[in-house]
Amino acid sequence: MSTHTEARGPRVSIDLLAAVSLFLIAAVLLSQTGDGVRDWAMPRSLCYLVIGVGVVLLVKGLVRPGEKVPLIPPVVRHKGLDTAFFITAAVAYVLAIPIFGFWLSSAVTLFGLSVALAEKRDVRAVLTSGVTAVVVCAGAYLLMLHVFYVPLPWGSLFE
Amino acid sequence: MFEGLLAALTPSLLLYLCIGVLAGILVGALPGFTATMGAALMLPFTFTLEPAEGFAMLAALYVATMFADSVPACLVNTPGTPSAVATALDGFAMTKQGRGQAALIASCFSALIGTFVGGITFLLLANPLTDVALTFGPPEFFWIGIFAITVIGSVAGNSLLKGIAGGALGMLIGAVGISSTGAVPRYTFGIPELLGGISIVAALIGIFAIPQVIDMVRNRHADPHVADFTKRKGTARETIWGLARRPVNVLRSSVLGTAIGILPGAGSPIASLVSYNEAKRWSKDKASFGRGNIDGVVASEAAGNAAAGGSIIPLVSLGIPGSAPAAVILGALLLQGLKPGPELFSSDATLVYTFAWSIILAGVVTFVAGMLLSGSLARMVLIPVRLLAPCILFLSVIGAYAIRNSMMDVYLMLGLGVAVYFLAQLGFHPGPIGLGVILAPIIEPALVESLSIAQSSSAVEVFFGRPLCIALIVLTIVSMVWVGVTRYKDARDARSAARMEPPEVPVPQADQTTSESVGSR
Repeated sequence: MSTHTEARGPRVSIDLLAAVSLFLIAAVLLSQTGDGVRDWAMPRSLCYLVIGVGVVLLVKGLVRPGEKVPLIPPVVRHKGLDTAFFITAAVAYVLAIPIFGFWLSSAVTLFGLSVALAEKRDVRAVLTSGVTAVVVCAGAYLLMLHVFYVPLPWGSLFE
Repeated sequence: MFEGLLAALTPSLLLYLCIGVLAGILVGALPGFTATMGAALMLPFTFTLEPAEGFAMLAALYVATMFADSVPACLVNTPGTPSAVATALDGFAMTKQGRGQAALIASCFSALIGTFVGGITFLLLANPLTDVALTFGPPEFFWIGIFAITVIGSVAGNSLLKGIAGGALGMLIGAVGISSTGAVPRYTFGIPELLGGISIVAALIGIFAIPQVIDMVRNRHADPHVADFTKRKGTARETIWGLARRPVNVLRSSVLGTAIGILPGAGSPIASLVSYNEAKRWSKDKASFGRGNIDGVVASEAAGNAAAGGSIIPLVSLGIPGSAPAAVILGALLLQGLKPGPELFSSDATLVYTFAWSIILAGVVTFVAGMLLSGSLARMVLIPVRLLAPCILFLSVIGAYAIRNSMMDVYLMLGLGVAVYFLAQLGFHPGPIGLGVILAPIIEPALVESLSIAQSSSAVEVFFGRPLCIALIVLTIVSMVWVGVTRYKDARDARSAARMEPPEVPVPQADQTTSESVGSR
């Protein structure tokens, strides 16, 4: 499994980007870290460990850059747009659940995503997507509500 | 003991055993549904049954869940339960190579052997082993956790440094919520729902499933299916015969799993990870671990199932559950008016032995069911990605929600998944992050409790003065040295191989890192 999207734009060492990411994460977490020794000793030590690894990666990235990746992530260009679309759809799906309820949101997402991801959007693709969405939702409904008794949200619109 | 066997072979008990196995396979195969949840859901049904029948059903559910969690782990890189994290490392790589059915059969066979070893240990050695387990205190648990951390060396992918950072990030994720020591809110960012901490199961679904789904979507033009699958006659026979001819790995993993399962609080996830690490350490083909080595699946599954049997030992002999599902079974014992402990062996010996035999028989029934289903399950990889990816997203949302009925867990699952996807693009393997999430709730309380004990004596005495601590420290140092030496040798071999190869025409590699880094290694 591999993709061969043409690389465009400036490229940067993967270790440098990794180091910057670690610094950002550690900075956010350290800003939220308290003073108590017993409660914060371990999180604080872990933050310092993350910073330490970040420093080593930074030096490594500057001295011996090794593998380089595009500075502009592939996710926002060319075929990476598929990824961005899927992530956006997934976020929209989970945000819609409290409003439209789990079952309606799931049915629409299952149908919409499988149609959108189809190579050819013909009648067959639409039909298989529709049948899959209905069967999966109906099966999950029976299992969740009548076997496992999991009360999935009905949504503020329907309550 | 033989009265127990005869009681376990009665038709009614076998019927409940089969029901437990079927329920366990369903629970294990659904990401997010754990053995604890399944046992809790089944608990009310045991009230009206005879004690032996009720325990047989719960034991069967526990055993079958421990096997079935490998199904989504192997086929779509989504561990059904935390115990299957190590299984996914090699199981999914095998599926990608078109060996998904072999991975499931290996898992099924290893689960059988693991269950046998755990169950037979329960039958024969319950009392002496419980005495040993009782000598484990917080310092020993702390060192067990540190020993388990060395597994990062095996699952870190190409960069050990990024593996260490990933493990630390995972442990920081595990630190979110009210601290267990001083009840202080940590990393909650003012969000009340985070006070209860992040659900380990939801976090693991996010860390493993979401990046995999995104990766599938991204590469669906080149790979419209997850993997190829061609039904071939004799796969089951060849796989089982291949494993039976070199039984050391499966037996070692089963013994390790049983030993770790007996320790209260350690459980199947730790057993699987430690056994995976040991399997890699003792293997002659270390480089193939994480790239589809069947021994990785065997080690993880054998240990996970053996730990299930092991965790029942302290429960029955002392009333101390060795794992969360065992705690639910303890509830069933108490509800039936039975008092677990040494006197249970004298007052209801037949019941105890029936329980032990039920575990062993559940292993057999699970094996038969798994073998019958493996071919059909392996075909799941032929479902087109355009249909499979939304279904995995749907199941991930259900799994994350169902564990605590909280939408916050769903948001966190998705958020973590997307974050890990981007980290994977930078060379961070999801394995160590998941490992950190699993180990954080074990290591931190053990460390803090040990420090409290040290206030009345000395830290050196507490952490380094106890015989079991010394043994675990030695094991940890050996493991770390081994990781360093192995990685040094691998790097040296790779360099010399690169020097030997003729220069290649450069090919653009802009986006190749992602597909390899997201759980495929």
